[in-house]
Amino acid sequence: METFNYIGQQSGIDYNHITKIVNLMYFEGPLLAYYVGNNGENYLLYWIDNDDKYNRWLVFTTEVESVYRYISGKTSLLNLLKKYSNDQIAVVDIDNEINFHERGIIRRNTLKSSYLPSKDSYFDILDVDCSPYREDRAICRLSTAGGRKRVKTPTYQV
Amino acid sequence: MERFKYQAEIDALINKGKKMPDIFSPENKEAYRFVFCRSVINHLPVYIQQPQRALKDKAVVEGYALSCFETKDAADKMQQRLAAKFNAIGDSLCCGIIENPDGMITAASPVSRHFELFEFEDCDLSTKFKVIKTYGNF
Repeated sequence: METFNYIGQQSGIDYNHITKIVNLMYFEGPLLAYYVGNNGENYLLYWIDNDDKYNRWLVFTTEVESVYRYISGKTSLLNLLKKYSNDQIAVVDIDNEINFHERGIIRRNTLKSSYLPSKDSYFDILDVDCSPYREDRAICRLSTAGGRKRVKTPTYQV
Repeated sequence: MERFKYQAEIDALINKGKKMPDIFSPENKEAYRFVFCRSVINHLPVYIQQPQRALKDKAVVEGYALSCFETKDAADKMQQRLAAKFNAIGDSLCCGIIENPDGMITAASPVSRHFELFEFEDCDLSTKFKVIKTYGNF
């Protein structure tokens, strides 16, 4: 996995006390997930890489309104990560026992483009349709008709 | 009824109150799966892969099943959707026929055409699924 130039060692995030709200992208496991912290902080965990021991995630700090803006199709995932989140990102490796190992802090503008989603990365029902969790598929009902991209409610019962 | 390949693990979850989805005999169903063409280790469920790509989600029995698509187009559409994440999922598409002795399947989603295969003990998809396409610049 790539080595980052860390600007700091600790984000202060208590990974033992963050609560997952919903997966926003899922295929054979989560790829993007929305979490909240004990003090109401909002985090996006974004998968970027793996090796034979760890899966590597970036932890973005954002606002709930920005997450809703993404789900409702008003902004892309690229904008959500580049514009509607904090500049400092935590790099976390998660092992097979789901232990979080924070490696350090990087600046958002140092992320290579291959780690970032495309410009047209708007939320789509396909992002969560393969999830076995009802709450993941149910977020499609939060889409609004005024969003840039209409997200269709699935026709099967969730 | 035949035992599933991961019966002990599935039973452990069911004993904790988890529910098995509705499952059906595949009846020679055509299926498409993402694999790594240069790997000898494919066709492993989410919870068996190492390291498993998981967060603090509650465990579900689908974690011991294999993701499949009903059509090539549906798989291609998902690959385009997840292109930036594809080193997590696979670099190639394989195809095969799931027969009744292979296991039981869930109903496919009408949206993504995705379904799950719960393998029986003797199922070995590596002998009956063939790579038909390699994606991108891997």
